[in-house]
Amino acid sequence: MTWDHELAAWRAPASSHAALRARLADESVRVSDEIRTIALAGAVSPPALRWYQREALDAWTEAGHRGVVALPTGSGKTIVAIAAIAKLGVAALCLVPTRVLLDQWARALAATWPHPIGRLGDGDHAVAPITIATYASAIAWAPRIGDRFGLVVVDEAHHVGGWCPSEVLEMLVAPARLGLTATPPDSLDALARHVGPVVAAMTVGELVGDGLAELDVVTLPIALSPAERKRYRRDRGTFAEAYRAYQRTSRGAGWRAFVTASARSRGGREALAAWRASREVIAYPAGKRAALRELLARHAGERTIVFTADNATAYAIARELLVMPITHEIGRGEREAMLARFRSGEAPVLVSSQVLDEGFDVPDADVAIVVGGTASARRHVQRIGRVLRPRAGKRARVYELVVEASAEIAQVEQRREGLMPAVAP
Amino acid sequence: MTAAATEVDRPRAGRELRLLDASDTPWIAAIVDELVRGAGERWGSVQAEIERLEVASPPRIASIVQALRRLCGGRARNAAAARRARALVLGAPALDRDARRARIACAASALGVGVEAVEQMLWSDLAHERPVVLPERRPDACVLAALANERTIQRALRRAHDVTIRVWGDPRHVLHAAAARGLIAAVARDGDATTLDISGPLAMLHQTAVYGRALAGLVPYIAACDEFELALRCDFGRGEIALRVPPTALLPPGASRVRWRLVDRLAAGLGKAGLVVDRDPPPLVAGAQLAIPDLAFERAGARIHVEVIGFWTEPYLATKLARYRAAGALVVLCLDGARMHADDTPPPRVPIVLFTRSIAVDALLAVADDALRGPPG
Repeated sequence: MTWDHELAAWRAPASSHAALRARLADESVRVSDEIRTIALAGAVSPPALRWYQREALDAWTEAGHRGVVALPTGSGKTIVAIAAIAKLGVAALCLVPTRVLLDQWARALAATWPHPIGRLGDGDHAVAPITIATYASAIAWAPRIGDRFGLVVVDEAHHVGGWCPSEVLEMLVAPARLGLTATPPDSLDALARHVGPVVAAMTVGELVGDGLAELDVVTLPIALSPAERKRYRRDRGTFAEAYRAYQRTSRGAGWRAFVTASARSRGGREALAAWRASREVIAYPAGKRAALRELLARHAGERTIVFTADNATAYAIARELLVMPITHEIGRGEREAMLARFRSGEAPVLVSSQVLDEGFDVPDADVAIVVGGTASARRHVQRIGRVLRPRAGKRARVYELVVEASAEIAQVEQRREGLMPAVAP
Repeated sequence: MTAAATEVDRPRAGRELRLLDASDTPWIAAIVDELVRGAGERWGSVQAEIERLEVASPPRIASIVQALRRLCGGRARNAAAARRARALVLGAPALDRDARRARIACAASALGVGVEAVEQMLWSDLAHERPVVLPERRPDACVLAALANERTIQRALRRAHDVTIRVWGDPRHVLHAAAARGLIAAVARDGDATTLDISGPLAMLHQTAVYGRALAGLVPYIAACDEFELALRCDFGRGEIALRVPPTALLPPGASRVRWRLVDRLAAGLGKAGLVVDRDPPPLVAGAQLAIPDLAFERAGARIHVEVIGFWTEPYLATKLARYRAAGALVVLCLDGARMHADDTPPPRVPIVLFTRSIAVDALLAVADDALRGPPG
């Protein structure tokens, strides 16, 4: 609480309304409170919950309707949120990162509540007792509508404090808060402060074969050709020598500091160029080319997503095999048409570097082929989640193409930490 | 509507924005040589070769590459054809050479072009994938420097809290361009110059990207003035800095004609209603400040001014009305509904017409008649 000299009054963030009111009641202070969150007219009818969804909802209820539910992509996090709205029966604001998710949530909620759903974002400015807002629109709208909702749901809650600014959550009075994520962040401070602690968490391994499809993860070692190996050794060697020298003189400095320092000298720039060249060699060498063709032939007709480390490789594959790339450069209309053809099976293969990782409504796929990626466990879990939506008799397959004796080995080990050992090869 | 400054603090004279000049043309020419060598190759690989030249700092090289892309064009021109080709060609994976060839041949026949043309069309709208197609004439180093400078200034404007533009010569095209973009601007006479104080996108609390784009769009009009000075306070994420653009900045030829269809249509509508319309009324002087109406017309023996307002705040509207009152002129303000938020309400009892897309002549005349009658009582 801070004293505002202009207003001659105490001020507090809207988010502390409930706690403040409780404290004043404890102290038997009489208050006049003009904030009345709206009760929902008509019941929300959520679909039947699976056991882990019910457990997550119960844990959230026990935690005083505040907390984060961490469930893998494809396991039905939205259904938990709908059940929470139904349980509380109060006006709810759902915050989502992208316009695509805005549409996806609107469809899911419209199927369970007979009244118009409010939408803030993508050109829409309609507020209703159940409203979905993109993070960006919520920044503008929170000061005006922050007193209307009793529950706030934050989708992809690992972005709280970053993409979803903490100020948005401070401007909402909603005492009930539910965060949804597939990948809780390493630092939980902002999330715990504005949404609550992680109250329920399930990994891919725990739900495989139950809430998620059965899964096989296969790692295929890829050998470089002698010429590729020679180039890789040379470029990686140049980079590693410069990096080691930098580490000796600047202990504890991170990658970003190295890049900044390198840009200032010719030697540093050469080291960075060598690092980029070494990555190019392993991004899509002849061995990965052959393996990809073989896998696509083996799974002909099955819906397959090919993940690459960068857009250049995604386009190289698209150019070579005449399959559809999904990148930020492909416009919305064309992308939707492509996804419709993917859904119908007419064009069963998509190739993408990052766009399909998160915040994108991708139809159910059966096979994921990771041609290249990063060390990020979060990204890997999101990618794998694309093939995990359950279906009767489905057995999802994930193939990782990894160049032998290369930097990719360490990346694969690191990113697998996001999964249970049960799904590791 | 969120609060944005109406009377902004003038940016203090800051450091000069680093722009390219004639001394940069040798290294720019080296980049052009590399581009010419790479004609027909993928932009991505040509750009990598250009970066390897290391003829200037990476941001400077990037600014010239961007200017080259703009000069060579292709993205928008090829977009429709590329989408059509992709819809026909991309599908199930073509796992061998024959299957691939057959798919391309089939698309070529459907499009009525050759096989090679289809291969080129497929990616011809993607920044790094499309082939480099040189313009008819070799790109001139000075032109590229000017284009890069224009972009550098526009980038700074997108990150501005406030901007002061001082122009010499006829300022009307700059003022109309600012109005047509809905910018929040205060105009004043300053000796033989005209000064515009404009709220920057960082002074707004929403629609900052849209507003920033609108502000950046003003640069070609400023460049068309006899002389100009530009001072801005901006924030690139490392704290606020004051910058200025020198009058000698190398910029592309400016645009001195503002085509504003909205006001043209309104003028035509008023003309059809039998009114005498002045499409280019002179600025009105209110002390040291100026009011810039977009058109004026005669009604019942009185002269009514019309000004179209894009982004606004309540204090901004109040200042605007006070300025017309001080100039002894009648005005009707037209507020663009598309630039408002649903919860914004214009202040009551002021001569305002709300519009979306076009201004209704009847509504405008009704408000004008109210204004002519004066306040009730």
